[in-house]
Amino acid sequence: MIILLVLGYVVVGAFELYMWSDRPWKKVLAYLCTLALAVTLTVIVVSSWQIPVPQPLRLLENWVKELWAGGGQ
Amino acid sequence: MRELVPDLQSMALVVIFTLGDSFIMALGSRAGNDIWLAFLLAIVLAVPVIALYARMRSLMHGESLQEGLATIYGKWPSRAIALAYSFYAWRLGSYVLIDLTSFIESISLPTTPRAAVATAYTLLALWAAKEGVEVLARWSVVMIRGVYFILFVAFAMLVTEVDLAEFLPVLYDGFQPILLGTLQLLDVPFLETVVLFWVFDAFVKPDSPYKVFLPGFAIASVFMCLIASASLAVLGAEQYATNYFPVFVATSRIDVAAFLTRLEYIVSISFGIGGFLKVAVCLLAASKALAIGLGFTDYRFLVTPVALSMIPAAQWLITDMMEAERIATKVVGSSQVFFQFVLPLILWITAEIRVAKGKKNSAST
Repeated sequence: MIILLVLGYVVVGAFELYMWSDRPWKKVLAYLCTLALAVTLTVIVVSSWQIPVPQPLRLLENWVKELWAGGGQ
Repeated sequence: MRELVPDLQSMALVVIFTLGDSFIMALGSRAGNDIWLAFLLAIVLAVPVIALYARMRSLMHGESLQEGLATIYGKWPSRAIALAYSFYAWRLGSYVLIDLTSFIESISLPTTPRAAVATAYTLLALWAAKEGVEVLARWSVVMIRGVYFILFVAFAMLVTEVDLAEFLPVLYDGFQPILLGTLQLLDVPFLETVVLFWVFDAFVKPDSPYKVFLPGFAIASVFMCLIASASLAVLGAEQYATNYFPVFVATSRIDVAAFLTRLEYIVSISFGIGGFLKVAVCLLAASKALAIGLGFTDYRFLVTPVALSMIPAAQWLITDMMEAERIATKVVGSSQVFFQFVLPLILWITAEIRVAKGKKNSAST
């Protein structure tokens, strides 16, 4: 399943790049990096790895909870 | 090439975006039977913040979004801000996508995999986002008549089932439930309009952002207030809070002379339209902000990978309907407060100082 999905992304990426009238390397790099992120997320979800969602603002949330009991619920 | 949208079309887009998918949820449920007071307070509190978003866009008049940001905040800070909001819009789009798929799964397609529904919606949004904000705004003008009609009919029919005693006694539990309900509403969906800051490339006149954001928000919020209050008066405060889709359940109770029934499906049409537009706008905003963050003038080439990443993100960020409902009705979310209020406030103060300094310098030379 994972291989099929990755293959699907590769096909979509290759087709889109083929359709571009010009391919400046910066644009191609940005496109491939973003597509790689999408593939990584798909692999995480399909493979059922229990990777927690990063919450960088958790500290602020804890602070709000301390300030006002019940906040953030 | 700048994408210039007439004010009326932009306003239609703001109305449908604000209504979005959330009007069907248990908005402001923490306020109990004082929900109408929570709505009024939330509208009053949201207006200055939305005026702040409009003011920031007004300060950039004559320039595209990318140029305006670079002029006011400098090249690298503007890129960092854009990247942060790209993430916010992407995450919001994923949340909306999971709301849509959960609703469809609960109501009509229980055995269809969520990913299939999410993929169908995302492909449609991808197409719309690639066409740009001009097409989305024109589409909104066409669809808004239908949305107005549906919501008006739903409200008029709900009134036949309403029990006004459900609103009494007023302020029985004091002011705190109203405050909690107000914060719920500000969080989702009122201040989500910050995403629209990143959608419009330029405005027709310097005061256009005010004419677009404020009336658009006002119309949508009044509709939401009427529909939510009527639904609560039909179901009662307890059932309103415990149902995932109280507006849907309330409209299902409409029975006019055993002739007009099953009107909940017309509300679903409005939900579908709003949800699709919200996903498309979030996708557009995420792609545009990402392109600005990476220093590109064109954003269309990034739409496909961003859209494709939203499908797994919708499964990763929220795993079930309970979590989707919890996120849609939570009181205070740290990231929401940061992106909807704190960061815009800092950006607005910085913009005012920089623009004032710029004017002073040009006057002295």
